[in-house]
Amino acid sequence: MPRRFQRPPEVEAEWQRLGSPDDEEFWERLAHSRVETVVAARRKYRDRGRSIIDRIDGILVAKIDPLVRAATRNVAKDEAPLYREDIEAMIGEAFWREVLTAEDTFYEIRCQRKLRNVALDARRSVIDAKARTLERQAARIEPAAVEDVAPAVTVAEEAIADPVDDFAEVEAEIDWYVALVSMPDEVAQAIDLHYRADLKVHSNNPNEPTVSKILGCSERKARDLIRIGEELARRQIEGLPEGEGP
Amino acid sequence: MSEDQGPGVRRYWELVRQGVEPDLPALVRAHPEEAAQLAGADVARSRSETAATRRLLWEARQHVLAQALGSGDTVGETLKRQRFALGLAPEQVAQRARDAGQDLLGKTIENLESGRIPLSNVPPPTWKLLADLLHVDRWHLWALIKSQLSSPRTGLAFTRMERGTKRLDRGAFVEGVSARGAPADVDDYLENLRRVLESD
Repeated sequence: MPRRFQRPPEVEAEWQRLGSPDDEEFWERLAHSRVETVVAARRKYRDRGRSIIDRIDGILVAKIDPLVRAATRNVAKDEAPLYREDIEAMIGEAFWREVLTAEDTFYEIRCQRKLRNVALDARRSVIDAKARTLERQAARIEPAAVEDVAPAVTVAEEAIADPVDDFAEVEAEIDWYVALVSMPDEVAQAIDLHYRADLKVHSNNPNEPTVSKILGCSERKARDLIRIGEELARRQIEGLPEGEGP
Repeated sequence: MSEDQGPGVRRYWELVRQGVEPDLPALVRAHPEEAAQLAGADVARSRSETAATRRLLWEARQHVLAQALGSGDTVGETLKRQRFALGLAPEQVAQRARDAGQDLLGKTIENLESGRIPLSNVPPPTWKLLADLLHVDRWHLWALIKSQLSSPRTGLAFTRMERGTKRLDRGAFVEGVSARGAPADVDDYLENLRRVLESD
């Protein structure tokens, strides 16, 4: 039985003022809506023709891309890039299969939480497959050499244990790395130096590297760049339209 | 990777290749003179990973549409629909392509739309230009092309098998492809197209 949930008030409000795809304002509103609203629109207008669904899907891909990356990084940050790609591909397939064919409305309620649960499942599948492959390889190798391979299997099995599951904490933090994509170069660099490289904006210590020194700008300019970046990141994470930022 | 990279940036990319998340604060502390370049590398990596994720998402969508719903689209249909939506004649699209330095005729556009030109005969830069001119997401177009160039048994499964076997046994991968009848040059063509679409 499909599970039914009630939309959170902010999603419901967005949904109510969305309008019709025949109006150009609909597209402007949809582009600035939360991902849950875009999923609901995708389902509602699935029979309205290919142009409309392609356009909605373009918006949807842009919205879920950072969420998929954040979910993958959350569950598989210590895995090799190729395994992370496998996990992303599996999340993508599960996402579309559910959005395009199933009735479960949870993607319209809390998309990010749902994606993270899917990411955990995908991770288990990928790591299981990795462990099975290593076991098969070990079985094919001559008995004398099996000893060398055995520790690798053990490592893979240990890695199956669930990683970080404190979703509330993860959801509360802004993933600066993912948000960098949507920022102009100068802003992205300032945000990267401040939040990712842990540098102060400014320091009276002449030997301490700071954002303003590295970018060769004033302290005020560096603070402005970081403020702009923070606003862009919050809009991206929270799906806030222009002018509704902090 | 360019040769003028300092040791800090080289170390950064080395860690990324190994699948290890670089400790950016530690790298910046160790190589403060490279702080700006390290931040630039970090931003570039974030953007490159975004392109990869979008590519995977469009591929997954195409796979679900084609395999689960049986309603997969073709490259030609998509191009034609977008051209109509923009109210352009084939010759107008060709003229814009010529303005951008690509030698295309209106007839070529029509032939592409009707599927009379094999997709792998089209130079990758032409696909990139057509995607931009007709406002088709590059990775959407990529997914359509990849889906059409692969057999019905491939698509996303092909991608997974390719990655999995490449990791373990390149010989098995080549053998697997020939067993399914997919020509090896399709793989090269798609790899080249991916690089072109990823470039600015």
